[in-house]
Amino acid sequence: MVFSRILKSPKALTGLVLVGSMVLLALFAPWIAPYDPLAIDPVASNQAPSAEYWLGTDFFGRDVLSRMIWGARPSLLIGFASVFIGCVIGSLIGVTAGYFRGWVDAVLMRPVDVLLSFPIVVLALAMVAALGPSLINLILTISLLFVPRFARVVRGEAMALRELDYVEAARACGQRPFTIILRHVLPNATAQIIVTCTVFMANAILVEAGLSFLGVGVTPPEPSWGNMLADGRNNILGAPWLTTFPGLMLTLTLVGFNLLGDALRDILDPRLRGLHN
Amino acid sequence: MGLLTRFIFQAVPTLIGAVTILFLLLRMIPGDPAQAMLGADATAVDLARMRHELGLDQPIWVQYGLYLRDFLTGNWGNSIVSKTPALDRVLEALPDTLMLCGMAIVIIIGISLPAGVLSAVRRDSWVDYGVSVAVFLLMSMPQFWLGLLLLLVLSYWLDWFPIFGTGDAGDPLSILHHLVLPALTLAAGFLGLVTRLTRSSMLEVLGREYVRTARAKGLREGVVIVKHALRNALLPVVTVIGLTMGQLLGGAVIVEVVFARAGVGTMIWDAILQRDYPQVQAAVAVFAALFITTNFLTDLLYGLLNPRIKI
Amino acid sequence: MALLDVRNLVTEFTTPAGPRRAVNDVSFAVQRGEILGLVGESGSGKSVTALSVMGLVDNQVGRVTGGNILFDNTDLTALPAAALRALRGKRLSMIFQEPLSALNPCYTIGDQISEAFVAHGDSDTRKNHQRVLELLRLVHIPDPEGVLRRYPHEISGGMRQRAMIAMALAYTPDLLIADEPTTALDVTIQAQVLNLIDRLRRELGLGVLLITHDIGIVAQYTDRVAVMYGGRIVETGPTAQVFATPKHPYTIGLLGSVPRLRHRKPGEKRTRLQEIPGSVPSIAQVTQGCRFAGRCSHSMPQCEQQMPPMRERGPGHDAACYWEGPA
Repeated sequence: MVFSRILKSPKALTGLVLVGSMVLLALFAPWIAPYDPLAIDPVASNQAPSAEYWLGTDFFGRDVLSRMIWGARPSLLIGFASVFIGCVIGSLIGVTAGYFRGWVDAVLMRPVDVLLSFPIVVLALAMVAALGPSLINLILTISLLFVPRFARVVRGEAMALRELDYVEAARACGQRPFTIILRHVLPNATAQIIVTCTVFMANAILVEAGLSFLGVGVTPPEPSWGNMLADGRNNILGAPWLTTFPGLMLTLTLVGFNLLGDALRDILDPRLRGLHN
Repeated sequence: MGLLTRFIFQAVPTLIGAVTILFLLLRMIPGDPAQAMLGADATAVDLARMRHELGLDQPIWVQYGLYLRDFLTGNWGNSIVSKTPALDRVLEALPDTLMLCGMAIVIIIGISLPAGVLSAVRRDSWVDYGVSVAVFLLMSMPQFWLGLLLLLVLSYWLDWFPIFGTGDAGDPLSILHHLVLPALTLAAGFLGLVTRLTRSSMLEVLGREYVRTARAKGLREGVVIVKHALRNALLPVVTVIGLTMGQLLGGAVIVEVVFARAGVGTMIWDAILQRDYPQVQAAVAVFAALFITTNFLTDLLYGLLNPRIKI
Repeated sequence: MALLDVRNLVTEFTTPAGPRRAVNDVSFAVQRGEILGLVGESGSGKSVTALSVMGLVDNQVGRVTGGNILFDNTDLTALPAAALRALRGKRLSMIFQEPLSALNPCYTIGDQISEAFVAHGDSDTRKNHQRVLELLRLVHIPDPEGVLRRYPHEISGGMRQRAMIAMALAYTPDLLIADEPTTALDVTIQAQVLNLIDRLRRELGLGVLLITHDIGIVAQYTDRVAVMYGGRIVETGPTAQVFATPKHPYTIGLLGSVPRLRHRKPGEKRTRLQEIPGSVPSIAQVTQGCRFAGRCSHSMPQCEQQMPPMRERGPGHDAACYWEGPA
């Protein structure tokens, strides 16, 4: 039923198409990309878009289109992985805090509040600086950014759900708290969690691109949209195509996830309609 | 509860928590912290002294205690690069960053409130659709890309705005001229959020009975919308703008780098690339403190605006 | 000449299924110094009728699409928005059901009342302050100086409704529309507020359109009554006469559903409270005939076919029903 409504919503469909194409690009990059993204060609340095290089080349003569297609890989991989980790840990913390309330809530949510007291980019920068840039560290850092944010959302949901009749009934029947959480509370928070995941995917990808842009994310020569934009900044007047196209890709991906998140929120959770947007 | 007690019980523990996280991060740096703090060219004697100063020869909780004491007494260490107190350098760079954030807030309020009110009052009109599409694009556009595009088009090609820097210190016009594009870029992402919220909040309030009462009194529509609807719709908006102020600090890092402005953001970035850890720590701690304080002030302001809440 | 003369008013709501009539061909009149009761269940179109007269139907929800609203010989439906606005709050006032939500939580009572003066061009702050104080005294608010500075949530429900009335009386209007003014109040406060309205009607010569679902209030306070059902007026006439000899089965049912306090003779069986079976049809349902037919115990085949027209059943007493009434 949800699926047919997704197919009927132009917002959701557009989002799905955008996200889907990016996933396909990432999966089939070796077959789609016309050139090797790492192949250096000093003769073809900083060439404007042409029939040979559709989107031009960078300083090292690498094909921008190919690098852009390969650049989808780290963005999506880091995005999916860190949202997944952040979601699992954050939801567990949130649901436990929201269900038990009292001192459990206080103990679990205090660190969450502290983590939320850093601006996202600043905490990410400090963490990556401490851990050193690598794919795993990037994923760890970005997941940690989303743990407190998931925890907040799910805690609110759990606090509302624990007051519902069937949850109280389950409690009265003597079911164990963790059974109640797993059987009754979490499943009913699913809609909210899915919507949150979709919106946070956009945020995670944005943070990854930002870190790469600042030179502490995906390390060159490995291509990512963020570090391509950093290259573009260094020669913005001489090679504007380096700035324009990777940024466009990144924006389209973010538009895709945001559209999908908006549409899913409308479809899955009519309560929230108009409330959050 | 008194203002001070509330600050002590709410904001101070969070701040100490934030500092603790910084402590843990510093301990996570691979290798020898003394080496990291002094840089690669430190002598063995210096290293030994630094280890002792940092208390690295002590158990970890003693180290933590010393760290907290130093933090509370304002003894935040020296920058490795400049050899001057790290905190002083942060405070020196802070005004530029605050000015950037302040200008961004002005832009956000100046654009988002009217746009949100207009699209709520003209719900489902082409104005409303136009605003929602614009809002959506702004929310999805990464700041560093938008900044680069603005630079490319407005500064390089059209030559309307300066390319980098903060402007001549004594000349307010030059400073403002340098501020426009960075502030616009910084504001962009939050414009969407605040516009959407203003719109939905206005829509909710416009359906309230007191708005009907105001019309029944014979008030002009403009007065009804601004005095009766907007005044009430502002409550949630103010909260979000307040929380946005904190997030703007994070955005400032990227915007300052894009526009090559001197500020705390650029300082953090430089310090990280140069592995100047005391400097990173000082700058991040100041940001966290500002963030926590603005959130606390937001709470207060919300109370002031809402007569139903007694402070 | 009636103060307010509503003729064949039609107000349509926009629904996903197309426009639907919330007020359907409604006609009534209010004289100066008279209280007309508009009575009916919730959803019968009473409030929409009142909002239509005030020109306050939210244009996102619906609009007046037919008929005339003659107020002192001026047709309000043909009036430009600015001219109608100038009448509102000055000659045409309205008070609402729930004073807590009808008053703006962000401004003091004094602010909100004096605003009515400012809206009509009187912006002398000191003079307005005096006028507000007079108004608060007029509606019997003790300690007017104190109430003036209070926010709505800081005073009691009865005080709030008095403040609402004071606001509506800012310019001594010709017509006061009171939409369920006492539903949200305690019984004792209810009587005080209604007595106040009644007194103001006599002293100031207001015409009052009193909207209520409470038959007891209609009986006690109104001169004439109009009974609404499904967006139409089904019976209208002098209150005493309508109550003594109701002609429309719906009115009969409505009167029958009021519990009466009277002595039961020893041994007399307790009569069951007579209720009308069924519920109010939604405006989404379109019918050709009488909307009450489905719930009516006297319905005939023709009721389903065509809406019965208003017929005179006594002096000034009309009912829209084919049934000739109880023998």
